Amino acid sequence: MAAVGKTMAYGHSESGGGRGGFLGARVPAEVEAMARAVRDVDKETFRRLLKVTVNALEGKDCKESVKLIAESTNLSEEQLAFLISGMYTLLREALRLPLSTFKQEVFKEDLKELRIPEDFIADFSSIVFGNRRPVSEGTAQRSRLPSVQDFKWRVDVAISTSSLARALQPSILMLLKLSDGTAHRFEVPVAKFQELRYNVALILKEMNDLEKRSILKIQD
Amino acid sequence: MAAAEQQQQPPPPPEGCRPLSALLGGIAQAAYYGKAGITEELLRRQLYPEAAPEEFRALRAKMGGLLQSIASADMDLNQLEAFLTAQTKKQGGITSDQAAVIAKFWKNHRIKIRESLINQSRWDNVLKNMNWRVDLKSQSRHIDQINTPVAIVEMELGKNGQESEFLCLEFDEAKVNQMLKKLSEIEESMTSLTQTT
Repeated sequence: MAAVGKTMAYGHSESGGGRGGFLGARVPAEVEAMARAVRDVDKETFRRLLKVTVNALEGKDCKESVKLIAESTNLSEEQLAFLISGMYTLLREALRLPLSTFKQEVFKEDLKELRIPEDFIADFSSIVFGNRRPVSEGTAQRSRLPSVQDFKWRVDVAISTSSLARALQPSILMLLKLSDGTAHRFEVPVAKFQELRYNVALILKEMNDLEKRSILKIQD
Repeated sequence: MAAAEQQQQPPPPPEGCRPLSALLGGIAQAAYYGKAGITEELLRRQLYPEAAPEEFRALRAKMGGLLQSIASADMDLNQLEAFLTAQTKKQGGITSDQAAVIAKFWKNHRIKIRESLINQSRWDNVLKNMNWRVDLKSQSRHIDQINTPVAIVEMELGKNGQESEFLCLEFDEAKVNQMLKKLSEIEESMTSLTQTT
């Protein structure tokens, strides 16, 4: 969601600062701005914005939803972006903290300090501490490794080279396109290819074995 | 010194032929196995100390040329025999003792030299090695995430003489399956290729 990323402002504010709430000594500017603006937002709109924010946290694309909200309220897309940006930062920071040490009462207190309306505090709280806690696909992916998105291959046979008049040597060329946008191209000699194939088959077997083993464990 | 010590020493050939065998070894080390610093002077001092430099140069050039012809054509035993016999009959060619030494050397080194020559025409990244492990989530807030194994694969890609690049990738079971399928396709393609050539 491009809008959210770009409108994150940097700066600090006086109110609530120095307290060391879950947002840290300096409350991010966009959260401050959101806290002020949200008082004029009606409950229904707020809930729709919250839904968009949660989707954004889960890595889903939200451009359409934001447009829809803009069309049905008197808020401009820019104002919406500010609101969502602040809600996003607030929730993201809260979700990072482990539930074992971060308690609901503390969270609510911090939000009260920002003078966010009670109703909205309850809604925020249910996101962080309730069953609707976002799976955070976005953050999870950032710490994961890239995966293969596309795999192209070609078998070449070298007929003759400057060093070997009669080569007749097959070789496999692979092109891997990864989920992080990079592409890697490399050659695999036949012997290495067999090793690769063997290893991949072994990985699959391991995965199957592991699954069987843990299913049995849970059923105990 | 180093060069002579690293030669593969076959069972002791007739006394006069030992230096030739070692000479061929030295030539191969420099030309095919990428060993640096094997100069003509070094070889002469080690193997033919009584020979004059020009005489030795001629010998080295002749042997080097023969080895190159044999290696470039990747001669099998029949071709090799025919080739060497022809060389013994030539003016300024080789003796039959020398032919025997060359033949023995080629039999021992053919595969390695061929492999080295093939590597010399690989200019892109080559898959050198692969390591992997499979992880399983044993605890998760969301119960459906348990039992999902994830494979972490590390591939070493490198070019000749350069530092390798390590590619770290993640695969879920579906992706591993896809990969295996594609690899089987490649295998099929290659078998049909080698059957028709």
